[in-house]
Amino acid sequence: MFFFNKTLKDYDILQGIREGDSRRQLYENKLYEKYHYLVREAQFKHKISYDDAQSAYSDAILTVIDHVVNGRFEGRSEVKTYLYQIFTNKCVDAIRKSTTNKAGIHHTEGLDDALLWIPDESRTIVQKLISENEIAILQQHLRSIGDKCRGIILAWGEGFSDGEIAQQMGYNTAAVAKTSRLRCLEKLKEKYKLR
Amino acid sequence: MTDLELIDNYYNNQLSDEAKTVFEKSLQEDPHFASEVAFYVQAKQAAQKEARQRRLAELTALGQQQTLGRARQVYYGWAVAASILLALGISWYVWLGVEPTRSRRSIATEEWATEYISQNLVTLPITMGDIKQDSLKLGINAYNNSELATAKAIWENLYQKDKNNPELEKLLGIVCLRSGDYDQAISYFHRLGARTDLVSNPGKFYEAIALLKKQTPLDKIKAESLLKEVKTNKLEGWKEME
Repeated sequence: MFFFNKTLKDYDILQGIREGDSRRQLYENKLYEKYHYLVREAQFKHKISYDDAQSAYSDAILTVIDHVVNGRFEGRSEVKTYLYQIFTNKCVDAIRKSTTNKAGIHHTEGLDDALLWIPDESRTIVQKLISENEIAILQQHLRSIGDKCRGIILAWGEGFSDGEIAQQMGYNTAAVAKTSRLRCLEKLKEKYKLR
Repeated sequence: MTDLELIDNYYNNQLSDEAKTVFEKSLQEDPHFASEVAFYVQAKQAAQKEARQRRLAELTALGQQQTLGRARQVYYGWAVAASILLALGISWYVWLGVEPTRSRRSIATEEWATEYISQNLVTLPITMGDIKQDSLKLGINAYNNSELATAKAIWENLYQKDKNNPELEKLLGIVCLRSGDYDQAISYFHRLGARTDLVSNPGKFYEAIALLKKQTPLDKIKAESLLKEVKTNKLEGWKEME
């Protein structure tokens, strides 16, 4: 534990995040803490508030984590350089947000991976049924389906497999985790349809 | 198999090619099934957003904790520095306060005693009058002419007749001091210093000077103690230490 408290090398942190087991969050936190000093630098460089800089930094870290997990970050540059670039962009977004509402156009939601699975002709049908508003409503319902169900659905949203969810949340097998997850999705659907 | 399970299997690539084709056909032809797929996609997006928001909140809290920790570290650093300074200050104060003569160590030395003697005790003040008629003045006159043995003999003779005379104890101490008979000088000054019937008594101060002249460590400690007493009680000679 003593060694874990020491500053880890980037490679070890990335490996910890990629492995995706129960310690993933610890490695994510280590990454966050390691370069947190960039917040102060950005505050002075971009002349933004400390809260804005911290929020942009948290956002940038989550983006880097996503890129690490889905393989988009290939390690061609140093983690710090990669993070710094994304963080700078997020800070610029924060400046725009504070100066004009037009910044909203920079926050377009990417087409969800789930939609890309569906062939083009069917995708349009599903896409028509999807709206940002519905997603926001579902987010609200997610907060009312109980902690256990919320936890398993959010883990699924974070991209954990059923095996990893079973390991993290104490289910006996991946199949049990999957059954529980689908049951929770049914519960969410019932709440959603009842509104 | 429920619709959600079927959709989940489709997205997890757990359907055969044939089942996939049936799935995609149902999606185009069955509006209810399409809405089920839409729900699944939206639920996943909602879960992703919610998870991200939760993680953002956790990370922001971690950042605040880290900032607080750093601020606390700086605070503790200052507190430790201030404590050290305070401790040093107190030690210095105690060092000065409890043993003030230590601060006078540069004064409470044999050199200082020698200098004091050469400046104050080489020539003794003498009042006007007939020297020949007054043995005390005769002794002072001899002393001032560096006839120390003569002066000592005169005063010892007088002291034998008047052992309660503090002036003679002082003069005999001084002449012994000048002659290098420090033990004798200490003895006279000690007797003088022990007197409580005098308004002004330089006994302890002179005894300290005689002790310093002896140049032994124990006598030096005793001299420091006497000088401290002189200074604390503002006995005669205390101004010499200012």
